[in-house]
Amino acid sequence: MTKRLVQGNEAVLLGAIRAGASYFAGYPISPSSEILAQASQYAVGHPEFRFLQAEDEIASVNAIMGGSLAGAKSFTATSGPGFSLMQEAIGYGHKIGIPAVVVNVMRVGPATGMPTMPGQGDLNQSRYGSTGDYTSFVFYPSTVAECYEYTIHAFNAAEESRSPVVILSDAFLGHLNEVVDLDEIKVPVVERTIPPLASGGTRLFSGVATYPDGEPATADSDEYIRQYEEMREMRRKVAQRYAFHEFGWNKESDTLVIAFGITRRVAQPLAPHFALFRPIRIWPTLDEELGAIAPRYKKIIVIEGSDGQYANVVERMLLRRVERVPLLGGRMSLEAIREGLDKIGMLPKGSSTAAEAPAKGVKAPAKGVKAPAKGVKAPAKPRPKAPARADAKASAVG
Amino acid sequence: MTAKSVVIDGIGGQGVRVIGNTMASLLAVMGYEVTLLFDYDSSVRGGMSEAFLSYDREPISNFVVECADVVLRLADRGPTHLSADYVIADCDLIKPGEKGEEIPFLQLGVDKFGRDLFGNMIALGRLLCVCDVDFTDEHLTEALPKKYIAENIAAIKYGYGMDAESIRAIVPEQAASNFAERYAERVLAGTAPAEALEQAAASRG
Repeated sequence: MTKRLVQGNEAVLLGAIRAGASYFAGYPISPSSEILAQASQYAVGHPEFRFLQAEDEIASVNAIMGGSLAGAKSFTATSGPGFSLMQEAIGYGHKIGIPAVVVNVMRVGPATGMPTMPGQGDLNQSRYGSTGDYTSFVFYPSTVAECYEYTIHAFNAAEESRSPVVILSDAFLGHLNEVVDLDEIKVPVVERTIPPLASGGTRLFSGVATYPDGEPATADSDEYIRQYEEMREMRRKVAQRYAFHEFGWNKESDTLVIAFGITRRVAQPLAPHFALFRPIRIWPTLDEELGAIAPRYKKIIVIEGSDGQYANVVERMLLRRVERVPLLGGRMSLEAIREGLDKIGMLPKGSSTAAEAPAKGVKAPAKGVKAPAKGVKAPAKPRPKAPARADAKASAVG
Repeated sequence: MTAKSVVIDGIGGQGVRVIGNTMASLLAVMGYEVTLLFDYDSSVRGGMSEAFLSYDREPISNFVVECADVVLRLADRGPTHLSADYVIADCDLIKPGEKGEEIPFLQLGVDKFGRDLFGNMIALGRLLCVCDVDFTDEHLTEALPKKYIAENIAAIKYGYGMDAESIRAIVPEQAASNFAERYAERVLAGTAPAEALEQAAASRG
């Protein structure tokens, strides 16, 4: 494969296929629907890859749990409202120990919210959405190439942790096209860790607390605690192999910015002013990694597309106060970040809000204002009359 | 160099995605790093449809365009906070104080190539010209869908070859009032393209 334009949602599907996924079940919902649509197209030419458009998200997620138990690496894709509907089955997957991958392309919630606007408000839901205690693995890439890469890691982590693993994305990342060569991304693939059904022996898939022989253990606290701690310890060890994060920008700054997914991309122009910590593994939290870095910095700012969901996590992790720049209502822009920094008195010198310094070029007036002048305005500079030359070489754009 | 940024502003169904995808594919074929972000209403057809395109010789980090070098405006549905150095617009879509040009792309598509859809490729050609993208026929052939490729290349070249004088000769003195939007509304209501053009033009004044 050579470099080509790939969409974030497409990269997730291609990563899943590379990881060995052979079953997708889903229900369309913006902004994740391209994953479903392209999975259906892929299935047409690849009979070994099975596709189901189910009647809703509840059926979809239960189908992939069943598909995984039957032997197929399985996944689904949805957005916030669908992800809410999936929580019961995700908890079931944690209880039984079912490897599967759930992709949540986040939009602005709650409820139907803003279906095509990017949000990051499902962090808590991806950790605590189902009932009871369990250990969630959640990854959040920030480039199209990473959508591919961390989807493979998600399938690997699902196999090793024997749990449903969540890939978080967002409306912008899912709909972003970038030039990538996915063949350059090499991630070893973990093979299936559980035998398929009908391969001999008896297996019990009960959501109820049971003893290993299948008898109910619904009143045995000691047995519950034994099984829970065993599972938690196993997943804690697995998590050590997936401690993905980025630490960069201006490490000599006295202020650390924490941003992830889409916000890390949008905040890039602030790189000269701040150090950056980007958690790629959102859950389990990167306590050791952030804990080793944070003491170097006088201040910490969390920039995120929710009203402090990750900032609260960081405060709990570090037992210190952090500053917050929430980007709400889908307003993921550098201007919004600068305004947020200005509000908390953290706007770097040399930077400015749009209000302080006019944006480049002519500011567009409000919609509906009619142009008094009609006809043609002269272009900025003369343009060649000749059409494209067949023999012209590619040249840099001025 | 810093990344060059283009925003295509239109209504779902007007061809914003086609123009954005084609330009991004062309630039990718030419070896550029490209980011292309589509933003649209959930209603899709008839709703806001935007394409944010950035390209550079270096990888691009922030792909959210807030100050565009060039905006191609086929309808006025884009974010109000977006600013532009230069605007290429269908008739009557330039706003007070903006630097830009108005060209009846849809009309030209019908007049020159027999279908309004080729107006999109004429607009793309003009956009590539204003952006100084120096492509070849081979680049175009690789970037374009195979269907109607000869017509599309001809339409792109037609748009690329336009200059201020030829534009002045094409655009009527009495520009339309929201011509492109009226046209799109009629097409979405089921009116045949040729008839929709006539109706949109009849609303001028």
